[in-house]
Amino acid sequence: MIYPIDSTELRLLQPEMSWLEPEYFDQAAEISDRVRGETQQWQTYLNVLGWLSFEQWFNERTDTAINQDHCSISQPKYANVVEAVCNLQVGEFKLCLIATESLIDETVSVPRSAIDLPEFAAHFYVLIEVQDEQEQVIIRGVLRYDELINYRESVNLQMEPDWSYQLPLSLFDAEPNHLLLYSRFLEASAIPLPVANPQSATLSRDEFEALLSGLQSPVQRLWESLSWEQGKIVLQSPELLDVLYQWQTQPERKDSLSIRLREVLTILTQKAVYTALWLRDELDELAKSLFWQPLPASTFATSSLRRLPDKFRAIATELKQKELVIPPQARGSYRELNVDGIALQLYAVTWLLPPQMPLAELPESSQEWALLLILEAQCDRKLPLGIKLRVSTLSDVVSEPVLKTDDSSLYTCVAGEWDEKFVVTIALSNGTSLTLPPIAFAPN
Amino acid sequence: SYSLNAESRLSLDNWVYYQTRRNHDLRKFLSEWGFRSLSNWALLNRVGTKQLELLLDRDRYLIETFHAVYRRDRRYQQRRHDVRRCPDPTTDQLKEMSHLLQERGIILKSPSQLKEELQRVAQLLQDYDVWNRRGSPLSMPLETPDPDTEDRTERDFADPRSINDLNELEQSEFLEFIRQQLMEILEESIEQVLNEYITSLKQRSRYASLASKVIPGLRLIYCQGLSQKEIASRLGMTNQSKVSRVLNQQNLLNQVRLRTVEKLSSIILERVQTLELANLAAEPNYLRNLWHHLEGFLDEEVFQQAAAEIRTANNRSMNSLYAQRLRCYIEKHKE
Repeated sequence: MIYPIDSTELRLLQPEMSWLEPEYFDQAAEISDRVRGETQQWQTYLNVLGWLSFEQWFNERTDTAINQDHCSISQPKYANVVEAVCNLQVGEFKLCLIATESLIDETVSVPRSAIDLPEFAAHFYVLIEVQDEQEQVIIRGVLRYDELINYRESVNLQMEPDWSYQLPLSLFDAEPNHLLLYSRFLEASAIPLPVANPQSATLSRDEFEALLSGLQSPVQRLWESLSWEQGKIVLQSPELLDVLYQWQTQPERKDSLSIRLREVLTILTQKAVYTALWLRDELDELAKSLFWQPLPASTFATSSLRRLPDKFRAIATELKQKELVIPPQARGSYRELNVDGIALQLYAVTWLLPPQMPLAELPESSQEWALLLILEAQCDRKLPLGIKLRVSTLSDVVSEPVLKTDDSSLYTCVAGEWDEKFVVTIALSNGTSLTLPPIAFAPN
Repeated sequence: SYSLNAESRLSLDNWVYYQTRRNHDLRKFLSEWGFRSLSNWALLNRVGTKQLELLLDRDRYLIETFHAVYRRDRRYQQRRHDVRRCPDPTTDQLKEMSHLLQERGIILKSPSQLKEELQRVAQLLQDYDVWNRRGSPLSMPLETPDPDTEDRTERDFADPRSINDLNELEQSEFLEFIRQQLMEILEESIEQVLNEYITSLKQRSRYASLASKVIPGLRLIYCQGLSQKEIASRLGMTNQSKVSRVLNQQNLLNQVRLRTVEKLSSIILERVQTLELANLAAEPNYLRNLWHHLEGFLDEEVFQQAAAEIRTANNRSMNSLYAQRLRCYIEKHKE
C-alpha cells in the first residue's frame, strides 16, 4: 500500500532526526574493521552509526529498552554476511534496521535473509538515512513485515543477484512515530513471522560437493558463489558462518578450516548412521549401504579382559586404566576405507552410558552414549606415521589423536547425547583426508 | 469521564460552529470504523411516531412489532452495570416477532431475514437523522416503491459498508470532547517530555552538565525571543553546537507531538474496547489509520503552526498554541 503523502506534510519539513555522537564513530570503525571486503566494511560502518543513534532515539521516547543480545551487528560472523542490522528485540517485537547513505533513487535495498529466514526476519523494518558529514541520522520510515510480504507478492518482486529486494521508498510509512506507537499498542502476534523449521536440508552427494566448493572459492560475498538455496543453508547455521568467518580472516589456517568446513557441512546435510540399532544386533539401511559389517554379538560379552580379541585387549586395558569399561552389552561394527591409496579399517563400538561413568564432560542427568573408534591398517600392515583420527561435533573438534609411534592402531573414545552427531575424519600427514558420514546414537 | 449519551444537547449555534471546522478526516474516520454510541437496537427502540409516519407500512409494522417484543423484554432485563448497550435480539424474540408479523400478513423466511430487515430500517433512520439535522428538504420520501414490483429502492446516503454511523450530533460532541481534552493533554505532554528529557540528559556524561540549562534556555527562546545562536553565551556555555543539540526545538516539538498522539490514542482505544470493538483495536491497519487521522487533526490544530514558527525562526512572535503552553510551563518552573 502506497502511503498517502498528505498526512506527513509535517514530516517532509520536520523529519525525525537523531545525533551522531563522537563515540559512535569510534565504535563504527572498530566493528567495521572486523568484517571482510570494503563494501561490507562501509555498510557495517553505516549500520553501526544507524544502530547506535536509533537506539538513543528509541530509548529517549519509550520505556521499553531494546534488547541487543542477539543483534547481528555485534557478532562478526553475522555482520560479515548480513547487510542489515537484525535481531533487535523490543518486548515481543523484532526490529531490523536498514541504514543507507542516500535515498536519491528512491529505492531501499532489503536483504532477503532479513525477510525469509526466521533467524533474521523482523516485525518492523526501519529505514535510517545516515548523514555522517552532518553528524546526524534521519529516521525516514518504518515498514511492517506483512506489508512487505504483500507488496512482494502483489508485484511478484524478483530477488536481485545479491540476494536483496529493491523496494520503493514510498512503501515505507514516513511517520517514524508509528513504530513507537505500534510497540505500545499492538501485540506482536498481530504480525506473524516465518517460523523456524527444525529440519535441516539433506543434500545429495553432488549438491554437497557443489556447496562445499562454493564456500571454499576465494570470492568475498556468499551470493557470488552460491545460489540462494545454498545460501539459506549457510546463513541458518551459526557453526558454518563461524568457520567461514575464520576462513576469511585467518587464511593461514585454511587447511584445517577446510576440513572443518567439510565436517560441519556433513553434519548439517548428510544423513547419519544410528548406532542404537547395533545394540539390538541390527544395522540401518544407511550403515549397510556404507558397508559397515557387524562384529559378533559376543565380542565384548566377557568381564575378563584376557578373553577379548587381540585387537581390543590392549585398548580395553588402557581404557580401564582411565576407569572406562567396555560393558558386555557393547556392540561394534567395522568397515573398510581407502585414503589416498592406503587401505584402512575402522572399528566403531557403541554402548549406553550409565551416569556413574567418570568421563569428564558428562552431565549427570542425561543419558548418553559412548563411541569407541579404532583405526588400523588392513592386512596387519602398519599405519602410516602422522595419520590422524579426528572426531568432531557441530560445534567443536572433540578429539584428534595422531599416530606418533609405530603402534598398529589409533583409537579414541567419545561420549555425547543421543542425538549428537559425530563426524569422523581420517587425515594423512600429506594433507589428504576423508570425512565419513555422521554417526549418532538415535534421532531425537 | 465523559458520557456520549449526555442529556444536554448542543444549541444550533454551536452545532453550526462545529460544522464549519475543517475536521472531516477524524470524524469520517471515526464513523467509518463504526465508532458508535448507539447500536441499531437502541436506535430502533427510540423511534417515535413522527418517524414512523415516514415509513412504508411494512417497515412500520416491523418496528411496531419490534417494540412489542424487544422493548417489553428490555424493561424486564437485568441491567448489569457494565452492559448498557442493547444486545442483538435473540432467536426466540425474532421468532415471536415473526409470528406476530404473520398475523399482519408479513411472511418472513427466517429469523435472520427479520434481523436483516430490522437493521436495514435502522440504517434508514440513521440516515434520516443526518439529513434532518442538515436542514435539507426531503424532496423524496425515504423509500420509493417500484410501481411494478413490490421492491423498494432506497436513496443511497452513506457508505454501505458502515452500519452504524455516528450521527452528526454525536460526532460533534465527541470531537468537542477531544478538543477539550487536547489542552490538558498538550500540557501534560509538554511537562512529561521535558521532565523525561532533562532526566535522560543527566544520564549521559557528555550532556549531563547541560541538563540544568534546558529550562533557562527555553525561557530565553520562548519568553525572551532570543535566537538559538544568542543563547549559548547567555547560558555561560562555550560549546555552541552542544547547546543547539540539546535545545533543538524541532526535536522537542516532535517528542511532544508523539506524546500527544499517544495519549489521545489511549483514550480513544479505551473507548473502542468498552464498545466491544476490541478486535478492531488489535489490527495494525486500524491502528495506523487512527494515528494517521489523529496526526492530521493535531497537526492542523497545533503542530503545523508550531513547526512553522520554529522554521521561520521569528522568535519574537511565537504565538502558536504550543508556544503558549510551553511558556506557561516555563513560567511555572522559575527557579
